[in-house]
Amino acid sequence: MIRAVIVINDQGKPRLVKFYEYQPVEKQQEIIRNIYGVLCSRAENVSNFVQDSTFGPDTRLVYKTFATLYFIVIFDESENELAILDLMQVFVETLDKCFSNVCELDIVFNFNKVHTILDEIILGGQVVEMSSSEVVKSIEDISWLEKNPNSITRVSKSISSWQGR
Amino acid sequence: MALSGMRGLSVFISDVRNCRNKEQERLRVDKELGNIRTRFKNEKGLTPYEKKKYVWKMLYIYMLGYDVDFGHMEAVSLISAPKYPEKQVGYIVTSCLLNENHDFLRLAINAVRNDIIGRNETFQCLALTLVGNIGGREFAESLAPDVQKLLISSSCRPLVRKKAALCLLRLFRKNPDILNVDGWSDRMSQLLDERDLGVLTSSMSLFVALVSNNHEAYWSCLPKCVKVMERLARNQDIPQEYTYYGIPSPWLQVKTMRALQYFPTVEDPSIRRALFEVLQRILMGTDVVKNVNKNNASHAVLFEALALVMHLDSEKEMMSQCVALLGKFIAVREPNIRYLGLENMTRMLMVTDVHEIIKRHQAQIITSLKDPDISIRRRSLDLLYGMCDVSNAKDIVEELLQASIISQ
Repeated sequence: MIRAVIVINDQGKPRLVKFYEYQPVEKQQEIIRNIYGVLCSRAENVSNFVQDSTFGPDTRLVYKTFATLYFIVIFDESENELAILDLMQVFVETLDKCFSNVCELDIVFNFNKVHTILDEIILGGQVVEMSSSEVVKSIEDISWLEKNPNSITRVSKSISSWQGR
Repeated sequence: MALSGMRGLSVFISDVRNCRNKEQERLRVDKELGNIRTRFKNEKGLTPYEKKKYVWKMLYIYMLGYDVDFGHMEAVSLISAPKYPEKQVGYIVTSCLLNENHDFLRLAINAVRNDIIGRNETFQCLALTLVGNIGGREFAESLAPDVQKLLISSSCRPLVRKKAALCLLRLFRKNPDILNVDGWSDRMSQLLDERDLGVLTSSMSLFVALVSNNHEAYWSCLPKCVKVMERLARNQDIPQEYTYYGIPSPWLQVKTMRALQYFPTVEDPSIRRALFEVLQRILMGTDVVKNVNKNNASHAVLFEALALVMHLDSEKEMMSQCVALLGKFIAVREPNIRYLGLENMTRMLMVTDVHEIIKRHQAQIITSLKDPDISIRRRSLDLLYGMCDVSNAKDIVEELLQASIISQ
């Protein structure tokens, strides 16, 4: 199970924090501080894996840097480390498609949208969708609904293609 | 991206960004919290837009690390808003701020249930996401049957069904005493026949949870898992959107092999043969390539296949092939693969009698003890500890002593 998805910048400022097992806010901040302490001391060209009991018992951590940001996933041993790296790549590729060349500022000012995107990828600590194009499709439907809040639902192409099967 | 922005929210975020130090930030946040508190007290005068804006601000402040001990009621009440933009904020912020035992969640159960059993699939998705993210006892008691219905309903779109599967998984994990899964094996077996890869992936995750709890009840699903592996390995009926860097849904391959590891063995000779054919293909057919993302994905599958072979053990021939592969991995340049190579060698020591073959790699393992990456040094330390015996104790202890002097 995925326990948390965290994005912080290279100064340690949180940009996205999502825990799938409730943690009080002080505990969340303590975990984020610990992670930042470990990650900023790591050299380039080392592995993407860190194991440290301060993140919680039996947990593993995978991180990936994109420009000024660290993307971090904390998870337990029921997940495959490299597959979690794939997951982070899918998340970032999806952000890239939604914001066309995502940068830190996009995430700062659109943290609510980033939550929306994350919810299409992970649910209850499990991956719900690994196809970036499927995620983008759902996000397009959601944006349409936001602009047309009086309609019940968008009749998208995906519905007709699904019914045609 | 077209998701609509909110000016007041952007201005606040900008203000916080412009603070020069933590003290200034705290002052700005306290001022905002005071403002929100006052506005909430006089709720009558709030438009839905304003309420939505303040609730998003609360989440932003919470993310920065400040306790937000009011306004929970306002966030929860947005769940029952009639329109999507307000409802969505209510759902997202509630799932971040509240824990499963929070009293206010009880107040939301009816609204959440109405969304789940209602006909608006976008609302269904929001509700399933909240319930799956929080997974509380009262949610399980009052909502699990409705969520089950959505998962097996033939009239539901894949979008809703895949979320229902994971919502159910979470409710089951947290409350196994409430969710009765007796007789679920037939249903699970049908779900594993699913053609849509999104629904199949979520169903496979649900299956992992069920089978890890009680594999005896799910023997009938084992051949279905092998079928899924065959479909993926042969690239049959895999739509383009589920092909990741040229690999047919690596995530589903990994999950399926994880599920198979919960069965103690594969008895049926023809199914066993089919499975080992697929595994053999994965072990032989994976090369290190230039593209790092493709490498990650193909090796995610490969390491899971290794774990499954180690688990099913008996084929001695494949076991030595596995050690040979791991020996190759611990010497490659790519640090992630080196790390996992060491870790899996350690695991292999525990499950099977390959001690002597692994000892041949001792020199390479000792090299990793001097790796610049502490994560790799730790893995190599674990492995040296595990493989140490009378024959190599002196060498290993000498190396460890030297390493401990360096790391001081």
